[in-house]
Amino acid sequence: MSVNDSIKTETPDMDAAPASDILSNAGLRPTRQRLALAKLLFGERGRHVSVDSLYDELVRSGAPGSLSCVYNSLRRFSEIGLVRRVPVYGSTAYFDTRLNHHHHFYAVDEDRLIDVSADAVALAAVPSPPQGYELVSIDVLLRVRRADAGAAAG
Amino acid sequence: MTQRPAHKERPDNNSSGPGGAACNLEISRNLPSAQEARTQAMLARAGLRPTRQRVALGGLLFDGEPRHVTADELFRDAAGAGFPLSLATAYNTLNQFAEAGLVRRIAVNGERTFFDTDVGDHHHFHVEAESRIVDVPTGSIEFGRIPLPPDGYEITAIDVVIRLKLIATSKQSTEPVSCVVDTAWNAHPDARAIERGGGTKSVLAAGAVTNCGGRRATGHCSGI
Repeated sequence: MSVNDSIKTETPDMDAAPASDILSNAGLRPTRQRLALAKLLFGERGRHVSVDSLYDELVRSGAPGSLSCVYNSLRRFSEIGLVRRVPVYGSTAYFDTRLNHHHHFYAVDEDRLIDVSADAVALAAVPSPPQGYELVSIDVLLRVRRADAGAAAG
Repeated sequence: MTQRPAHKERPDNNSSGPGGAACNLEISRNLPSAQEARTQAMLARAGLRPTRQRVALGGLLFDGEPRHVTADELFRDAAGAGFPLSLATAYNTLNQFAEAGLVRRIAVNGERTFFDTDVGDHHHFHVEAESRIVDVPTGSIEFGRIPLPPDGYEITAIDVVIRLKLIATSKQSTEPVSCVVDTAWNAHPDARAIERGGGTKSVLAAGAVTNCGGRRATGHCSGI
């Protein structure tokens, strides 16, 4: 399993309190595993993780846990809005801990996400939602690839 | 290699009754042979061996309008078409199709994974609460500004997902999104036009203006 995002875990030694606060605010019982995950996830600002990469980190940090627990926790976190799934049209599910509005570059060949600030993208025309529905947000994903890769292929 | 799967995969069974290769018969009853041949050709072009299962599922997927399916739905469709298979097979086949570029996987915030049989460039509405995906009409999104790609990279495509929710106050809005696809989804409703609609639509206008930093009326939506 590859750790596909450059994960430099220079987590400022976050004690248990903030992590358990995050969990209890979200109505989650602070189990040992969730605490470990919350520390990894929210100790640093703005992370993109996949189930695999987070599991790798968890194992390296010596915390208990299985892949399925990581998966379930991430899903639970996303259900209650602690992390957000990035709408990548690809095989890996990415979760973003930065919840303020922003967009992404997606380097397809490297399976890697890069943040784009919200005001770097402007839409000149937006479709109106179907009747009875309202807009919640607009997520833009700009797929990119290395320019020389294109030249080599072409 | 791939020249003659059409004859190889499908024995001449159009006139024979039930019996023999049961699965195969069921398929050919549901798919006209021309359609089947098309599916086989498509699979071959995508570099996939046209197995019976792939041909059958390909027929279900690509027969008719483009659509968004989940593995569950395809599984049910297949059973309904008299071609029972396991959920795992439906899922695996969809993934193989996705890797071959025949369908596109759509990841949204939710537990279901959608596969889009239309792989062309287009965007999506996503109603999270209903696990539902709807195409955004072509040409209704225009970009005013996009960022420069990172150094050494080029932008190859842009995917937009517009998240929607049901307007809470509206009483007659229980109809699913797909039923209103044909209503006017204007390219750019300005705030005044929406307000003229009155009723539920003014709620929508309020939401839209908030989303666009209050610059909606100028026709330019910034920092969404």
